[in-house]
Amino acid sequence: MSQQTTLSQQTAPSWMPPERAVLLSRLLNVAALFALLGVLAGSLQLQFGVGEQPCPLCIVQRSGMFAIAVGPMMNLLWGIRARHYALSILGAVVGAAASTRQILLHIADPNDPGYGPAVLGWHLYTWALVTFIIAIVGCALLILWQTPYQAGDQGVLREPGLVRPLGVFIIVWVTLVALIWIVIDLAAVGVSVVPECGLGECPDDPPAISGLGNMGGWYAVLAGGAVAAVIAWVFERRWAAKKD
Amino acid sequence: MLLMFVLWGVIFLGIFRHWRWIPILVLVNLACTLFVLTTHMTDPIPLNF
Repeated sequence: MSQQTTLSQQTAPSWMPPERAVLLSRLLNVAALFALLGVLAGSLQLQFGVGEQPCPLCIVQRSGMFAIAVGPMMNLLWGIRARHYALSILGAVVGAAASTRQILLHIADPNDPGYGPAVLGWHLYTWALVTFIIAIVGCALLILWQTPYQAGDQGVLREPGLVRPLGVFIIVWVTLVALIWIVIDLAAVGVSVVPECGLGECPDDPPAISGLGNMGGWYAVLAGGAVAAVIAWVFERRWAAKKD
Repeated sequence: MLLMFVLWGVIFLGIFRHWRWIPILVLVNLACTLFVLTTHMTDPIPLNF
């Protein structure tokens, strides 16, 4: 790790060496991306499996989900920085505004059953608000933890931070899987917007489509993960060859 | 709507390519997302949100 530190960072108390703190931060960022992928997987399964088209506010919330992903992606590829978390917080605030709006819309009328099916008792927009709040709180806590910033981290691909080849392979490959899977989900969401909305605004109450079936939807979602795993493996091998 | 996701695609590509102006584009896209949100806030509801 390079030694680009500021005076204030040098004097900050730490209970963990900066290099280890960077590794822990990376793991937390990767875990955050996989958690986000889980939330997106639920909504994509409903869309492509059950055939439940997303409403306009749902699409805005999806945009907020991708905004949350920006911070961890930049942290993993550019290095751990507080401003990357700040971007995620801003994205989560925008997404939370959309989900709060939708929650209020449906609780305003006591006879309103809500939009779409409920998952574990809550509608997806309620789960989305929970996700956005967790993202805001999580990012705030990680900004408070100063130690990772002292290492001057340059990202996983420039400084894997591990010595053993297997450890390097795992951290780089898992990171790439998460990043590429997010991109694949973005492509799926972006492409599916076209037939529903065209190039303009989306209809307020889009008609349901014939989906792939309950399990078919999950297979489609997991297929995205499998493709991401293969692409990540190819990238990692190329990266390792270039590094050697 | 489509523009939001096209911009996210450019942003993700820029993160992979280390383009320095990406944070600004993120803010632009968040503003774009907020604009789309306001265009769909047409139904009057309590709290006037």
